[in-house]
Order: sequence, then C-alpha cells, then structure tokens
Amino acid sequence: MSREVDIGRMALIALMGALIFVLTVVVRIPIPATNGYVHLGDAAITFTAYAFGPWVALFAGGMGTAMADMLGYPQWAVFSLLIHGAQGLAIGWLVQKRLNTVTVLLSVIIGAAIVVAGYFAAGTFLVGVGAATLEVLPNTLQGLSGGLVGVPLYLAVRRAYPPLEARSRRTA
Amino acid sequence: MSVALDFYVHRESWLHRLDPRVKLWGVLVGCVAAFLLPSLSVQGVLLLGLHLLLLGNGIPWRVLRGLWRQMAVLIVLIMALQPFFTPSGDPLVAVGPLRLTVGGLSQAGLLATRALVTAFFIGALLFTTDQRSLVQAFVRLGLPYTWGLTFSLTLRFLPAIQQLFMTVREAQAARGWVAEGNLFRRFREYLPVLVAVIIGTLRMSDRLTLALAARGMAAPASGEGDRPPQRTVWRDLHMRRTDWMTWIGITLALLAVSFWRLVFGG
Repeated sequence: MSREVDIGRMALIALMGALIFVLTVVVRIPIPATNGYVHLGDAAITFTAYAFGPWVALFAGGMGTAMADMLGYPQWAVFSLLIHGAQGLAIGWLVQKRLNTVTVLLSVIIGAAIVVAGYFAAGTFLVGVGAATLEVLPNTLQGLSGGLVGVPLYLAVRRAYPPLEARSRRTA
Repeated sequence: MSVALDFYVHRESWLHRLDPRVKLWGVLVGCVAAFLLPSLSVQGVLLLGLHLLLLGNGIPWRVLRGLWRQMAVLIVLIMALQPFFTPSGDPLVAVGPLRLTVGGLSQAGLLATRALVTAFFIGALLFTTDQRSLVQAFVRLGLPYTWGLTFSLTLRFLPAIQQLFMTVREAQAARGWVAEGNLFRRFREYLPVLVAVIIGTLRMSDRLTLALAARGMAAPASGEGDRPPQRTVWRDLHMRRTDWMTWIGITLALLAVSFWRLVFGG
C-alpha cells in the first residue's frame, strides 16, 4: 500500500510553528504591575488549535515554543514542547466538533490550566518549588492571554479570510 | 533584531567534528548525571569541565558569558527563594515563619548549579553543531524525514515570518496604529496586526505547499510495504573511530554514575 505525504499539513505545521515562535519572542506586552511581560505565543497556539485542529496545534505549538526557549532558557525547551503541545492538543480537541460558548469557555480555562500546572510541575523539578511558586501568577495571565486574544483572533481571521473555514472540518 | 535561531559558532575543532548523534548522547548522559549526583562539588567540576571543553574547542568567552547572562536572573531567583522552602539544620537568620538555614542554602546552590550544568550541556551541543547536522542526526536516529524536513522548514521561515510581522506592524503604525493603555486594550489593539500577519502566513503556507509538490514531496511512497522509500541525502553522517571511542567513553561514564548512585545512594 502506498502512502502519500500530506505536504499541505507539513507546510502548515512548519509555518504556524514559525509564527508561534515569532509571536513568543518578538511581541512583548509589558505588565507594569509585575514588572514582567506577556507574549502572544499562547494566542497563536489557540488560533492554530481553533483553525486547524488538535494535531497541527500539538506539533506547531510544541515545536514553536520549544524553539523559542532555545533562545534563552534551553533547559525548559523539552517541558515547553510537552506543555504547549498538550495545550494545543486539548484546545483543538475541545473545539474541533462544535464551537459554542461552553466549548470556547472550557478550551480557554483548560488551555490556561495546562500551562500553569505544567510549568509549576516542571519548575518544581528544575528550579525548586520556590521559584516555581513565584511563576504561578504570571503564568496564569500568560495562559489566559491565549484565550483572550486567540479566540477573537480566530473569529476575526475567519471573517477576513473565508478560505480558512474551508480547511476546517467542523460541522456546526 | 533578527530571531534566526542559530547558535552555531563555526570552528574546526574536535568537538565540532564529533558526530552530532554522539553529542546528543553526551548531552543526555550529562543531564542525567547532573540529576543523579546531587553534590555541589560534582556539579562544580562538571561546570568547570564544560567551560574548559568549550574554550578548548574554540568557543569564545563572550559566547559563554552570554549564556551566563541569560541564566543570571534564574540563578538569583533560585538562591533568593529556594532556601526558605527547604529549611534544614540550624537557622542562620529567622524572620517570623521564614528561616534561612545552611541546609536550605546548600539545597538552593545545588538547584542553581544543576540549572547551569544543564544549560551549558545544551549550549555545548548548539554552539558546536550546525542546524542541518542536528536535524540529520535526529532523522538518522529514527525521526521520520518528513518531521525533520518540517523542523528545517520552520527554522528556514523564522526570519521570513518575523519580517512579515515587522512589515505589517510598521505599515499599521504608519497609519496611526499604536498599542497603548492597559493590558486588555493592548490585546485588542494587536488584533488588526495579527489578522494581517496570519493571513500572510497562510498564503505563504499555500505557496510552500506548491513548492514542495513541485519537488515531488507528495509523490506516493513506493518503498517496501507501508514504508516510504529511503531518501538520498547530499551529505550523510558517518561514525568515525574517534566518534565510537567518545561514544564508548560517554556510555562508561553513565555506567559509572549509575553504579555510584546505586552503591552510595547519592
């Protein structure tokens, strides 16, 4: 039996991975209250999951953020690969069949919860429970930014670029 | 600022010539050793050894200093917080429920040096291995070549997508766009920029699909059974004698560390 290589999906994963990397590294919106910043990587992952489903989001999200970590925090790369991959997979899986208020809300909350819990567990292992606890609040904000920007972004792109909906296998 | 993800420092050294698969094995064993040997002196020796190895193989000091600078915030954070979470032994200073102890301090020191050792092991791989060899090493270790190619394409398109993002942001700024105000306002104001960037990315993806199809990437596999045919490569990886010797050395080190851990229990 012969098997074709799905080059469309390959190109999509490569470019969405690159986009997630760029939005993680280049866009930094400062939060004066915590002296930190929020990046738009999670928003790009949420968009990818909504537009192209769980598998593209799993690979693009994991790869894009792991590569972004290589720029300054290489020891986190493997954990980011798993955490953001799982985030993309979960969000994509939740909204792949139906898009309504319940699935959207669930996807935003579960997506953020995976990021917060995942980084807390990885942080406890890598840098100790002290530094990991300090990261919980910024990570919550970062995780929620995924849904707060990603969902409106998906709706806006869908309106502006109808071919997007043709790629989606969603029925309702 | 370009975000091209390239840490490679071109030199003609032993470490640069070493087969990337052996280097990957070395990084894995090194990180495992850093976790299995919880002793400040062992971590210190590993860290010093890594510095000597990198400097001896032509990696300039400024590159190592860059990695130190990136790790600095994390190290300070660990040293400032961790002692209070794991107090043990006599307290040095006690303020309310917070106790700073010798045990807590050494525990924090251990975590900090371990983070540094892991970062320098990964750095040693990335500074001395170019991207193509690294991807090829993963493919030779069993990663499907389509995955390897996807990864290479992502690396190749990083500067293109960054350029696209910059162009759109500048074009919007020229029309009076500015992102200011509180966090939620800024989120909303980024939407027009992001929409244009994403549509640009999707169009780029369509063109890339055509380019890949034109090069025969979508051709049905005619290999044995369900397996895709073996692709030929321009420059293949070959294990030389020194590569095998180093591989044996690293494996022996792993056995020694495991033996030490089993006998002395860390």
